[in-house]
Amino acid sequence: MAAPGLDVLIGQAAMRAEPAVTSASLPRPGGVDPLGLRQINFDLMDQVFPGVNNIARHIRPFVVVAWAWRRAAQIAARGGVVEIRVEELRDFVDRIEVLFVWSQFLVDRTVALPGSDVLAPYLTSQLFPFSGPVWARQKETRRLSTGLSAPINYGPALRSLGWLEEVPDASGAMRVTQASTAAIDALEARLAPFLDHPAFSILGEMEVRREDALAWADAWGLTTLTAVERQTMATLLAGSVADPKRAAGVSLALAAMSEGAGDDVTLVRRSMCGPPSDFQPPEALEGVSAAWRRTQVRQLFRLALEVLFAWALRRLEDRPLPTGRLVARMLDTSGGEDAETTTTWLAGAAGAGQAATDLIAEIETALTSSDWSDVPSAVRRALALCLSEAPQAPEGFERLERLPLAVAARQAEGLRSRPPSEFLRHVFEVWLFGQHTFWSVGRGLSDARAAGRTLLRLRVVLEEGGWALAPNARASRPNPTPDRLATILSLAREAGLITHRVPGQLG
Amino acid sequence: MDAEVALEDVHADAGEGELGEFSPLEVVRAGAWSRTVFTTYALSLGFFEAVVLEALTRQKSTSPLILADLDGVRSTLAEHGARRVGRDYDLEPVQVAGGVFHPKVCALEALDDAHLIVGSGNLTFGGWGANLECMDHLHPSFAGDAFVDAADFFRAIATDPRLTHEAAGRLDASASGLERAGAAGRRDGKIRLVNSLAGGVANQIAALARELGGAQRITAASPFWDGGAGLAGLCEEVGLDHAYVHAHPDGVVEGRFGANWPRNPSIGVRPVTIVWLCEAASKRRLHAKLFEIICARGRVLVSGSANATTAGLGSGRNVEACVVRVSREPHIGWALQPSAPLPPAIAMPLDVEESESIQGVLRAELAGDQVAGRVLTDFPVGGATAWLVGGEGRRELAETVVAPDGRFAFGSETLEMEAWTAGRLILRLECGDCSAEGFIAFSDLQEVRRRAGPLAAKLLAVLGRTDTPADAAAMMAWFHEHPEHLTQSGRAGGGWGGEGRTDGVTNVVALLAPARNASTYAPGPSVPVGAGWKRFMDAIFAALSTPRAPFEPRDGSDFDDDMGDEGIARLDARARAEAARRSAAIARTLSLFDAVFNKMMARPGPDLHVAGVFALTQYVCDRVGLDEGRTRACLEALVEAFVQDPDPSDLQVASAAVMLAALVEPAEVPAARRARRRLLALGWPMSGLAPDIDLAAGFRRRLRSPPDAIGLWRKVTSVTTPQEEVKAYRTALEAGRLPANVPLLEASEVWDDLVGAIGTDPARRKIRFLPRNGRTCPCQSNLLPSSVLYELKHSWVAKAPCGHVLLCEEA
Repeated sequence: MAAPGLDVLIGQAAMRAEPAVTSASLPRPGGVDPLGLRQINFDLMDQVFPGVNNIARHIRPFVVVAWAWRRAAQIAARGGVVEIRVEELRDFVDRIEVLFVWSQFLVDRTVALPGSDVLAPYLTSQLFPFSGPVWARQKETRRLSTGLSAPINYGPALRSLGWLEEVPDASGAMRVTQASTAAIDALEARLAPFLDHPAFSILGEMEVRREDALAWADAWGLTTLTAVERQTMATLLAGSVADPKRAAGVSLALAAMSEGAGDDVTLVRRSMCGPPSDFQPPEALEGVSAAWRRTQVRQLFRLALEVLFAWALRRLEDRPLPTGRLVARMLDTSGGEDAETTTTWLAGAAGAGQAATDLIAEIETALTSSDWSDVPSAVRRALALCLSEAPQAPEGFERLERLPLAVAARQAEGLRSRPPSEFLRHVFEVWLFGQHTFWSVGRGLSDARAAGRTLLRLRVVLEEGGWALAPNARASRPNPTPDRLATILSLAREAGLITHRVPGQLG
Repeated sequence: MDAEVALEDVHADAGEGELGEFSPLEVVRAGAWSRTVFTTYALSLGFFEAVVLEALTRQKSTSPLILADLDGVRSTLAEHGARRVGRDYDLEPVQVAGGVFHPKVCALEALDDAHLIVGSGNLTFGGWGANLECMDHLHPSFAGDAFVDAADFFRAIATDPRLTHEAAGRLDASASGLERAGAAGRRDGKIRLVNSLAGGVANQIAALARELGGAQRITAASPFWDGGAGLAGLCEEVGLDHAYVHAHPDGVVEGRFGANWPRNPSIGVRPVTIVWLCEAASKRRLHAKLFEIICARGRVLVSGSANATTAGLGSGRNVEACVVRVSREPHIGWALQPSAPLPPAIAMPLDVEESESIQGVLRAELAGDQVAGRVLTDFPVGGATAWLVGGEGRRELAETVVAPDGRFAFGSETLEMEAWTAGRLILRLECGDCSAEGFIAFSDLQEVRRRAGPLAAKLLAVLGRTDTPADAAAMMAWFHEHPEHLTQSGRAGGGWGGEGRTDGVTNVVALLAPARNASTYAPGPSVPVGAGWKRFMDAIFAALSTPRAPFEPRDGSDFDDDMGDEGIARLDARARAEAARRSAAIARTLSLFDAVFNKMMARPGPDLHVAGVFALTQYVCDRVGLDEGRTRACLEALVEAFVQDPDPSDLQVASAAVMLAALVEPAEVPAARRARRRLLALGWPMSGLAPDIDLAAGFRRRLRSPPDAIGLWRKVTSVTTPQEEVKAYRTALEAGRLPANVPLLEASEVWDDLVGAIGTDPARRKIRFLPRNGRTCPCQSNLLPSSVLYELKHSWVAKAPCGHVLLCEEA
């Protein structure tokens, strides 16, 4: 509903003979990164697995989109066109993306491709029209969300892995790279029987029948990769033209698998960190192993703080509480209440020396109980480990407002000889509520300056009785941030870098 | 139920109480306000920034002023995340001798409009919706008297000797606006604003009741009571011996002071429930303060900040503000239901640590490198230590002296940059066991707001690293419109930026007045005019150079507000529209950047602020996203500009740019030579450390996997440039010995000639040195053939047709 204008509000006010009761309505609540800590996690992942995300896990979509761009240009050239609006090319690419995904969903509705909700109505229809205002709206939607080329799906990796590159004329058009050409040829050979179909041979409006899409499904299915496509991905992912950091990250993962971690993603993640796992990375991979370990420790730090934040919100559901009460409750329930100093409180947690991945799992387990009774002790152990493994200084990309672990450790260092209550007061007031307020306000004001959405991200405020929940605020359950390892293993497996018998060898 | 309440005393009036709900936020959101003043007792800066400031920002309203009681200010000092105070808005603590500053007034002024919101709600979530509060939204079109009253109230706050604060000027300006609005509005005496600085609220209510023929019934709703003394005083003033008191079924808001029921009254207290209030409660606890006085010839209805206590209703205590509605028609009053007194609330225990942390309050202002302020609570006169307090701990700033009136001042050279970048600053003064804390307001922001206008908020967002694509686009448009900010002269503060000029309008009187001679110009303030702006721009360029995350989403991180961890897109239509706006803003930024860059680099010269353009480009590369080819081209152009007119103050960043440009070149040795030549031209010491390539991290993000910088630096320090070799050769020639370490010359076709010239005059005369861009052989004035010029350009040594061996020298 549109907000009332001043005239309406003045009219309502003039009509009142008495003061009005304030409305309880406030902006709708939202936000899933309450402490603003996640960006550093992504930056750290970039040190090990740059250029990929957690979504783009299959090879075939890369090849299909890259092929679509080349095919669109070829069709235009065949028609004698010298200059063409990029939108016409993009329309073709959008169409191919939809046809590819539609055909796969027609065979298997659970296939791991984006867009299942949007395409659901077409799973029973006999025709897919690529024309008119509906198609125009679909294109607009897909380009920002469900399309393969969307920024949150395969879009960034298509470029960063080297499947496509922007034409340097600032038009936004894409072209295939030398490295990807062979794979695209291979796909085209598989599609050869169908290429005369208008869907693949003309630009502009048309419609496609369900039976046609079904007929194409196998030719470009996710599991019918050619050897050339696999080899191309192997080269782009971790070969000679790959980002050296990613290549090293992939090598580390493969080495961990071959040294006993096997196919289990959790074990691979743990082993890649080195001790206390039995895996000793080769000397050449020690650097990337250290970077991975830093990533996992940061993951743990972020998760521990977000969980403690959610735990605090639960405590505030009944009534506002001052910081001292939250601290006392945390001390009572996390063990070590007799510790005289922060140092002894942290040391008593026996967190240091454990694997960060194990403590992430411990926190996840603690969150499964209804009362979260094990959360405080799990968080205590996590903090102990994170502070013991904190680097001396933040990396260049770690901004202060994101609370780098090195900065947190420096702050904790100043409180080590003080009682643990003082340390925890700092944790609650600065690391949790301070971070939360800063990011909630900052994002809200950013939206306001850009005339964007109105969302109340603030979940807790300091009011007369202490910290209080904002209206409609609730504690949501935090989860570990996906760290791209599953993507890497999936792509590596499809690329033949992982064989069942001898992991780590080129397949 | 109280036996004293007789049902026949209770007048049913079904027509009253149908008030409808009111959201103060809707009023704030509905206009672009040029002046906004809030007064409050309790204060939550987190709430204010997340809700109210958000609404004001959305409307591009100017920065508001909050006047808050010391208790409110004190409690906000622990809100570490609320960092806009002193930057996006001003907070002025008010000390009241003998009471507290308790009014809840919001005055909103636009160019030709004004609104007042007066009620019981503090500037907290509770006050704006979570509690059961009452508010009046007033407009001059029907409540002109209240605006004139509000003007008087603001002036009284500004001048009353019981109050201590530093907001008199702004209050006076606001009072003038409210007075003008009220004078032009409807003034029928039906809606007034009473305040306790003009006398006790009870006393003023009683006077109105007398005008209406005297009180017959009084009903009160209040969350806090002082045993009943305040209510008894009001009853005495209006001539009644009993009162109906609302017992709110959902309870009352807990407070540190007072009880939830008048338990020791000297008058009759009859517990009732006010029917409409219960219906509107929605399970909310009461914080509204309402008094209905039914009179012989009408009704007086009071709502606002005053509790039914002596401090609230009496004189010389709290500062309160209430709206009084006077009805001169017969009234039977609110519908009431018999009830029972509220049970005593379980007292909220004051947390031990919380009570220990309660301290004095101060206010301070930073102008340039000078801090001046005042302690508003008891504090020892004499020496004190000033600390800067933040989440990371505290840092000693200076020793200062606190005067008997609490004033103090000191200088701090480092504070200003922190003020630009960090947001809120908290100052702590300590003297023995005494301490006082408060926020530092930043007066240079006034100059920035004046010069940059609406852009100021966006530039501040860049400084605070909360910028969005829309901010980037607006900033780029500003640089495009005002390229002088990328020149040395404009940077010095003398530019014609967005200083709020009114184009085409000037003051003729000022033009005709004789200008002062420079020699007789009186010394100005310690901070030169425009200095704040220059420092601000320096901070902006520094912020633009600081690496930050790209706008482009990765793993859904930029959409994290609407998406789950899995990153799967489930964006609703609004979010999609927003994403489209972001994309459009990014495209506009890139387009504007191209225009700005091309315009500035088309005329490089000593006036070009190359480091500024470099910072802007780095920001665009890093945050907005240039493609790799364009990034390379921009970097190369900037390096050339740096080298062409070296500025020692840009040495660090220019050298980093040189190294990065060399890193991405394919051929290592030529790249190292070129880098060495450029670094020498800039003045970088080759025997020292390598330039810090992280100063160009924004460019690096867009350049594909450049190799290790350490290896390049080793190469740079080991190779020689042709210029160095020519210079070495000249020195050797003059000394009559062979030069050492001149591999380029040794490999050249004229090496034998060069060796032969050492020590033999005839051969030596064959050697001629040319300036860098020399085009003729010194032996004749004819132009050298293009093949020789080409050789000279690339090898710095060539043989002329006349037989001379030519060597180029750098100036």
